[in-house]
Amino acid sequence: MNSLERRVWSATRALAATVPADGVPPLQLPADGATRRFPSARWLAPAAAAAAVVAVALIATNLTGAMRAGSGAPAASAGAPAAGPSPASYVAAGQVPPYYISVTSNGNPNLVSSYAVVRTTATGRTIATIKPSVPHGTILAVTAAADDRTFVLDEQTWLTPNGKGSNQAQLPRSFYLLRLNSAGQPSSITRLPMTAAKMVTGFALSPDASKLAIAVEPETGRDTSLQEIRVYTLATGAEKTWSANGIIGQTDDEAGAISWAADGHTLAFDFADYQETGVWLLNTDREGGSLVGSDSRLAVLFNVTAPSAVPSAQPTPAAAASPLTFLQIANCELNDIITPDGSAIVCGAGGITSLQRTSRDIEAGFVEYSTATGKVLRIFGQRTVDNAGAVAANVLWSNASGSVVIGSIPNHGDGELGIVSRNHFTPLSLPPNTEAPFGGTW
Amino acid sequence: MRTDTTDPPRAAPEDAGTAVTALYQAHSLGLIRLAVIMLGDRPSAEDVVQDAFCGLYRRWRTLADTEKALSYVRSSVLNGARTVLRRRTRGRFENAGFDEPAESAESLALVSEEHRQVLAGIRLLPDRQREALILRYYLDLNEEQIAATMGISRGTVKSTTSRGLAALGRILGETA
Repeated sequence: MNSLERRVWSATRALAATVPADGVPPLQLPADGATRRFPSARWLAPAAAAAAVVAVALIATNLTGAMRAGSGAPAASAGAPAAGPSPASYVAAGQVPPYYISVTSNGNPNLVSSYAVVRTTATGRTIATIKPSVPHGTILAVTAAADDRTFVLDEQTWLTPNGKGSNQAQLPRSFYLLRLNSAGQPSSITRLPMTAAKMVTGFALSPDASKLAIAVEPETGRDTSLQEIRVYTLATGAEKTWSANGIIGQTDDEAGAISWAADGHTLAFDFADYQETGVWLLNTDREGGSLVGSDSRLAVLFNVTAPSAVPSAQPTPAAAASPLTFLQIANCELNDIITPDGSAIVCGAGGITSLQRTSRDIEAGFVEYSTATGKVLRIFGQRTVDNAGAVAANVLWSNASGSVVIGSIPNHGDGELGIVSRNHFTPLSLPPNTEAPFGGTW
Repeated sequence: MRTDTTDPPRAAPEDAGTAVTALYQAHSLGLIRLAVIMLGDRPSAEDVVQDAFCGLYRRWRTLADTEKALSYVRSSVLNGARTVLRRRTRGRFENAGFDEPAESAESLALVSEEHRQVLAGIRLLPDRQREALILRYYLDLNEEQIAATMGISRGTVKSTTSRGLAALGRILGETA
């Protein structure tokens, strides 16, 4: 255990020790098995009275059924991008897709993701709710083709307390091809022949919906860290596999772990080998083999361990629209996609710029790297936020060149989901009580 | 798959009070302490643990392997703490003037300045990194146990822990 580990070990125990062994309150089980609806009386203490006001406000919002529009949010902190045109105007101009799908738990216990909800980009209106095909099923993630009408859903059975196996992530996945009609309503849902019985760390439908790429850890539970990308041709079921030791994605179904360029054969994937993390471009026209061999090339190297080690990939004030330092946590390696024209990698980033006992200042925004040179092309949509809940922006969709993206950015607690163009940010309307982290698949 | 909007089936309650209460008596202190580390204040921690055991109670009928109960309720505590943190930060922004401290004064008064700095740094980490570090260094769980609790692979536990330590080191000005 090194010095830092000892500090963590010691500090957590010191705080834990403030709870005395005889200070545990009795368990209050519900008489009827219902969810415990009322917080303890402590929450009604004067110091928390303001929180009750918030609760009343939220209830009132629910009763009226009002959408939580971004325009109603508190003003952004200094450094926030200017307000952009309305979402509807972006949709009308064909600059962003009209529909998207979000995955929500709809209030299920333990935030179990269960439903895929089709919504309009312009207003956030729910068009359809798609439920799992099996009891205790959950829809974990969604990927989209370029037409904004074709999606693939990743379904899994949720591990219940009596579930077989010990790791939710290893339970089998099933994939469903969903097609929407021109009104955004589901017209067909077809189960695809391929399955994944191991940890899925990312998946992406090709722009023409002909191929599905799945990143898996085939030997989950062992220390080999073998990582595979499997590319399936939907029409024939043919499969190609590339593999290497390393990590793709931070966790299961990472939205930005793998993404396709519009050419339909270039697949971008982020890859970490414990020392450094970068984005590689894989030519999926090849027959399979090594993930980091002759079929692919390293396009962008992110700074993970040593800021000075990779100067070419660092945001610099000279390259940025305005100075942005990302002092402590860059986070680009957690979330990045290739622009459809293949010219750039866009990532959501953020960093803490000052730290006080009960507050922190964060700079967050989007960074665009050239796939040709690996260097930063621009930084956009950045803002400074005090006390944000998250520390980094999150990119979810990009237009062909990266000039318009959809993503979330830390602000007002859970952050905001919106359209970013140049240095304008247009919040998208979300239904009340939308669960964080905000996301969607376009 | 279906496109209706009916709620999914929920487990019916059964007479499980004795078993769940026994589990609570055996593990509630450790879980409240875990939640205090996650949340920084005891009242919220106690609420999260109460809710976790209530959830276990509702699902007890479907619990075939009681040895999994602790792992299950531990995961529920983590999820509950995550929800509280999000609700807390949301409330801070949506209600001007409401500024709930990250750590309660009562708790902070009992730990040293050095520990406060480390705890403040831990609270700045992304959810998964914070949880992985606490499970590893407070609960002394191994990678397999952390993977089961967080529902992620061992490889991801390793990378998440490594990145969390590196980020914490940068925040505290120390090399991980």
